[in-house]
Amino acid sequence: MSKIRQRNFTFADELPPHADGVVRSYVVYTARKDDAPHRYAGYLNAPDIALAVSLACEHYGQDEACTGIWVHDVQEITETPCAMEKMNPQDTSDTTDCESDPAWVVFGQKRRGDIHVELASLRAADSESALSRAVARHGGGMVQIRVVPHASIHATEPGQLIWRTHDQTYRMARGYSKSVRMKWEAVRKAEDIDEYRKDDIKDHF
Amino acid sequence: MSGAANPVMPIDPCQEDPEKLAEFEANIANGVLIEPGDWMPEAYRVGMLRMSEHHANSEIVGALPEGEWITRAPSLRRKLALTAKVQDEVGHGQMLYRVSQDLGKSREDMLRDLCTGKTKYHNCFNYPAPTWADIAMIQWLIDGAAIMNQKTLADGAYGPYVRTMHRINMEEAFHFKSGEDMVLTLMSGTKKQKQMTQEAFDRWWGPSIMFFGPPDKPGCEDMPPMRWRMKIETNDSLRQRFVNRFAPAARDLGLVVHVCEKNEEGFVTQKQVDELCTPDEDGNWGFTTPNWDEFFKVIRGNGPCNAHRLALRRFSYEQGAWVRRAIASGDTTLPPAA
Repeated sequence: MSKIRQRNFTFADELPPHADGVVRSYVVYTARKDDAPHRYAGYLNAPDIALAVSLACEHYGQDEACTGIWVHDVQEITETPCAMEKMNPQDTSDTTDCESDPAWVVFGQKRRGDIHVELASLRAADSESALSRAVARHGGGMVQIRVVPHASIHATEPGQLIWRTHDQTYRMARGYSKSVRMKWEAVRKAEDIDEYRKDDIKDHF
Repeated sequence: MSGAANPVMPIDPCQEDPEKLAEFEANIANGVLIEPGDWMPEAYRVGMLRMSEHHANSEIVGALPEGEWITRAPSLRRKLALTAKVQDEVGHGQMLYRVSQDLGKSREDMLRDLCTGKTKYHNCFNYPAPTWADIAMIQWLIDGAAIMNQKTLADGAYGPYVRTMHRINMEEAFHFKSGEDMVLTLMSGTKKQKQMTQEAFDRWWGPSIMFFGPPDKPGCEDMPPMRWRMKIETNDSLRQRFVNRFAPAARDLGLVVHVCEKNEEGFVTQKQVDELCTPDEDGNWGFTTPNWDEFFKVIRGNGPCNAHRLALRRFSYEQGAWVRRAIASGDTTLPPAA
């Protein structure tokens, strides 16, 4: 055990005070392949967007193959309430986007509990009209539509190395599946191994 | 790598608006997932907060015993895997604290309440890990138990927690498989390696059996935590499934299930073969009832490593205060010497 872990710790009665300053919450989306839609990955807390992007690359960018990351402040979201049933927008009388309006990215949630996935982008003068336009165009079959100003989304550079390209099978279940199966076969009957493995999380092997 | 707490319901659901409560319960019964903007009973919010905060705390503290072994891993691949695992566990804590934030408690308050012992983490992390074989056992048995539990939690009713569980389980699958590979390697090794593995197994079998929490109370299926699908399988059912899976696997590996007595430091002082650990005609494996007095003693903070784990967490929190200040406000005053 390292020396620092062997020491006898002594502390003041009270914890030191909270760190002052504003730490904001950011939403992170990742894309598994070039041109694949960005999918909700999770949240993180950071003092500014630059550090948020950096932390997102280190955390969510290393969980699975990843070619691009989007990050935005949670406050930038405008969304419909999460419906109990899939939406079926009746008013599809839509207007053409005006090129001078700001761009918005549309995300949709197909079922309650699902993650939000990038659907499209559009242009609208404000968040309210962006949301209603997004619902009319993309709301069918969704339980929730979310719009975020394109300018608020900070993305990694195209071609930026996020998911490292060296062999990372040591950090994935499938990196062990074959060797584990072979080792079990040396000591167990095949049907016992199959019975034992039925509680594995199979999607990830 | 953790099971979530058994959520305690501190608020009487009967105080809620009966119409809203009925609609909420009907939605749950119909398999509808609850999202943060939905109405929910206060007891549900508080129960989910406690459950996800306890889970987050467990992820953070669970990284401590394994982190100590990174520098002493027996090969580069094992070192890379253990480093990735510890990074994963802390990341799981981060994600679960975020779920808890949405339920009404600030992240800073959660980190501080963990340091001061106001909130708890999973009992199993209060046991010592003195050998590399203990790291193998933590990943095989404890992560194996966590997978069983978290697979069921991923079928729960609170959307943000369910989404987080899916993401966490993807990584737990690697943790478990890595641990399984380590145990298989050790048990196909030298006599000394096998003995070390048996001793580690003796230390961790008991905490693994207790992992799923105390025995269920009568009628627990009708109580809010299960009625509201905060958890969907009983402690005893999960425990039996765990034993059915791991007892025969251990036997086939050459490991013997013992009933152990331990000293204050968590080391085995006496052991005897668990004669109950055989299958019945239905295929259910028997096991000796865990020492629940020990379980509750550890919960109350008197386990072998409670004080050390909390002290290390608090030490890290206090030493890291200047980093948080620097990040949050640009104040780069150096910390006191360690």
